Amino acid sequence: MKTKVAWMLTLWMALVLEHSRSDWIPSGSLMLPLSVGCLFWTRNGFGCLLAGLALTALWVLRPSFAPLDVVIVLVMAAMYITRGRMQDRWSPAESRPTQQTWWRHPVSVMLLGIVAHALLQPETNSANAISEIAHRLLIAVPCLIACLLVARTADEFGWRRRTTI
Amino acid sequence: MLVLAVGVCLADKAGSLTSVRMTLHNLLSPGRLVLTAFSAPLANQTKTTSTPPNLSEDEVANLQNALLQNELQRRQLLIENARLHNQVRSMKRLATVESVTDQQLVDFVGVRAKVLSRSGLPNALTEAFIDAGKAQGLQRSQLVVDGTGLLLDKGLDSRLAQGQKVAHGTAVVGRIAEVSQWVGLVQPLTHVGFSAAVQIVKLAPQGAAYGAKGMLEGTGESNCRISGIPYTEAVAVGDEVFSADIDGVQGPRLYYGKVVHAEFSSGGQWDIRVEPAFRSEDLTEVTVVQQQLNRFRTSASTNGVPGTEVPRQSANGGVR
Repeated sequence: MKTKVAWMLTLWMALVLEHSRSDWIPSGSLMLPLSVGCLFWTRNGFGCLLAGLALTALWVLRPSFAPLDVVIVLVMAAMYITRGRMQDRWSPAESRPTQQTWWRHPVSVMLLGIVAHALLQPETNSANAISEIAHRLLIAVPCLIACLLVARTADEFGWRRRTTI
Repeated sequence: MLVLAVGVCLADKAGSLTSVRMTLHNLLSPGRLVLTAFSAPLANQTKTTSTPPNLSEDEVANLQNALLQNELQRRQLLIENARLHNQVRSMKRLATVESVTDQQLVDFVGVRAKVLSRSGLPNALTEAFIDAGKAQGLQRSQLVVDGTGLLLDKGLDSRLAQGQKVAHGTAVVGRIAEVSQWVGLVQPLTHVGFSAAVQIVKLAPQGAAYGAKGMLEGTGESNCRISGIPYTEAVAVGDEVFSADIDGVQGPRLYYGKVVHAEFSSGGQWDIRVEPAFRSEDLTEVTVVQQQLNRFRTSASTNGVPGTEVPRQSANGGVR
């Protein structure tokens, strides 16, 4: 319960920050990494629901062509999480993922989400697409790295309960 | 979640997301208030620590000129907006009546004049005028003006006449009080004897709109007073004041200033104070507004109707 409340508050604060300070923080640069962090931290239906709601709220506040970034993030994250859970089951015939690739899935989901989000914004055109993506990544990448490091630290110290099927 | 995303997208296209958006704004508002509370001291701190930009005198002068131009443009747009609103209103009423417009009978022209002095006619100039006038057979009374105020370098030779309005840009400075052969003396609008018909223009969210009409009078101080507006009319501080007419003739609206004080007086009227839109210290050149009859129309009428007398301008600028 504490984790759920903490993530709800975190996402709400991120939404407030992005919406109030749109001159400082490009749209999606906080919400996307935090939503991805929430998805990969909780790794359950509640995380998907919360992250999906937060990203949908962001889209409602700043509508673009279509919420494709929300769809991409949710589908890819669900795919990776499901595959990861399948791999978590112990089986002597299958190789387990190496410990060094734990950050790849969240980063790839966030990168695709950021690219999709930036390209769908009305102010983005072919001339400034790269700079729009780069501006968002400047904030999003450190934010996601911080989330993943916290998650990893919590795993190492046993502060996070991981549900297994 | 995917169904929700698609549904939200369709709802947005249909325009039915307004209430959801408002609810979201309400949900975010506590956080935004907190953020504002934290960011305000930071902004103040930044303001106090930042050093003012070093601008040269030329740059400052250019910026001031640009500011003045913007202000003039704003006033013109304001009165244009009010006029268009009025026009739309009357067009709606008279939509079925067709009218034929022709050339204007009375035109308003501006004669540019330099400010020679701010305290009447100096003695040195008086002597020079008398000496020069004697050679042309002019008397002293035709050459000098008595009184204090702005002295213009245009007079009867430029068809200046008593009562003509004097403006700086579109802002009224005063009117011609005395005029001699070569110079004219301006009575500023803050002078006790000055009065003019004015109309208040209100700035509403829908645009500018004409308000009550009254009489602007000088007080002898730095501001003016408007009288004759009953308390049933709506007046507020910040309203703009424009001329109602020019010497009784409908013409271009000139700007007088801004309402800086408005309260009910005991006589059932508003006590309104207006801050003039000019500073006499800054004036170096002004425009004298004159009325002129349209030559094409007057010559056409005299040619067509034998014995018709050509209207002439009166001494105070009116048409007779």
